[in-house]
Amino acid sequence: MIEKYNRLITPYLFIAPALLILILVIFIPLFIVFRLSFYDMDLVKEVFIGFNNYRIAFFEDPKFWNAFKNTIIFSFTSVFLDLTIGFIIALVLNNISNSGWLRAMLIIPWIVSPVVAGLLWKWMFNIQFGIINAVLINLRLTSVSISWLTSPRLALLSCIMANVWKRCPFMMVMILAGLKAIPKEFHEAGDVDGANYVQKLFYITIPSILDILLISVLLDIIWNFKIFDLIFIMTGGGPGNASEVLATMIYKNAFNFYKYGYSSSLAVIMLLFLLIPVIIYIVIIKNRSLNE
Amino acid sequence: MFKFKYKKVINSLFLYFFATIFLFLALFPFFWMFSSSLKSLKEVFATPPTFIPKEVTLDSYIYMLTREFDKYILNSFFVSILVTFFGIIISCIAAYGFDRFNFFGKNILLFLFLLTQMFPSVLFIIPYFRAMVNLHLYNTHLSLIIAYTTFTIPFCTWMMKGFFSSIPKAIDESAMVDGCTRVQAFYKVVLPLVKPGLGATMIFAFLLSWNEYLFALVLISKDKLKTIPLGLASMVGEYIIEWNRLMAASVVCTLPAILLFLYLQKYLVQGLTAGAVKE
Repeated sequence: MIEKYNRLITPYLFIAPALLILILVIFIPLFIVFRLSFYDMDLVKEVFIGFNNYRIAFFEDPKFWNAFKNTIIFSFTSVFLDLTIGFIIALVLNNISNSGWLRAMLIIPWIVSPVVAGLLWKWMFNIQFGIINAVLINLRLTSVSISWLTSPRLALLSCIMANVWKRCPFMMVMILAGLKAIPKEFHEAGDVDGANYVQKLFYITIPSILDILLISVLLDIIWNFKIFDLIFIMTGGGPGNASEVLATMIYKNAFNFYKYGYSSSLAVIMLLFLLIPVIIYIVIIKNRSLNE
Repeated sequence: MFKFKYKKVINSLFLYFFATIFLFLALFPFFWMFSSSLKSLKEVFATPPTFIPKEVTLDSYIYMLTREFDKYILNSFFVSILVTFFGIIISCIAAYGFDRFNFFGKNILLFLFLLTQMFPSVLFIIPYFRAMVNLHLYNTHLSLIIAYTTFTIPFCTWMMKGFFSSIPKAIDESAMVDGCTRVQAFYKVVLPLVKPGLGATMIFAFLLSWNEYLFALVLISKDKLKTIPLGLASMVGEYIIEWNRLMAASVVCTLPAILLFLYLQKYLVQGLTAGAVKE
């Protein structure tokens, strides 16, 4: 009798500590943020205002849509570049034997702190003393110093470049793993049928890794949507609001302007938009495990 | 025959050429970071800039390590090691529970774990800040440890679950037949078998904590308690930025990460792609 009780309870005992912590330190704060979003709260007051914060964000605050637009541009451009560059690198690496160390070297940008990466690229993009402008001017590719981080038009783009440098290896690793899992017979069958390289690429390679591509792309979208450290370090959201993204806007509203209620509502909005790729991702994962 | 070999050689050259370009693009920034760190203040602001410093100086490193950065480094190590320690223990236990058993609510809970990975960090900074202030934990390392451990757990659980799933359940069962309790089967038999996976997960937990910026920014304001990313960011001055010192600090921040990573990168990649690729 006790045996049966034991067997029933044991799994819960194993997962209990983790679950407890998650509930306490993730789900309760989540609820708090949700609740705070309905208040107008700063350092002095706390007034319940219902959906007012949301109304302001969607209909009255141009900065919100600016940040949202920047977040979308940043996320999708980064993912697109990550995908294409990562795919090419993976293809190259797949055809080189003993590429383990090469792969290791290429992953290093991914593992450094976003703060370090941000500072490094901030330094390289420096107008007067940065190496990038120096090389460009030296090679006569441009006659004036390019204001990478101080021009409203280029600020976000520069952040995207640094971000792609940092995140591309992740995509490359996932795609490479997928490529290596393709059975040789597939390509050999293509050879037998007289397919050239491009045909094999589109009809054999890509369909075989569609799974991994989808998952990696979704993960990348989600990760880039949340970006904070890199942009905050490189431009602080500036100049003006040129490179402001949702995460930086939420931080600033909370800790520079002390608008805790409004900031919370922005965070909830961000979460809701984020749930779209997240749900797609989970549906796909569930489908795969059902098919196995 | 000759023509065939010729084509192969061209192909290889092509590949190695591209590989070299990618390698250059990936690693040049680090070379530049290192090179800048060895320059004097005058030379780091020289126009045109030099690739290899004319005067190599370790002044930046000495300044960083003796005046400002020694405490940041210690703080980061302290927090990261504790987070890794607690995080791994809790995650391993949970991962074992998830992999070895089927129980009511298992899928929902797994879903929940996965979901937490997707939340933006900024979502939590307001409640964390208020909670820590109310608990008198603002400006303490404990607040960071709590925050980081919490966010490490879902990912580490997922990774370890993948590693546990490669160990056949029969091993647990035979151990229990031989008289082990379930818990003993866990830490005496199964756990030693996933050592490489454990190592990789520990590295990941350590790096997550070592590189973290946002929560440190929100929860710590006292200079002597700052972690490395926070210290780095606060060195960016209003007017003049001493880039050579900043780069030296960056090198010091990055070196442990790179070394740890290179040591265990094979297992890290394995862990990442474990669930992703259908065998």
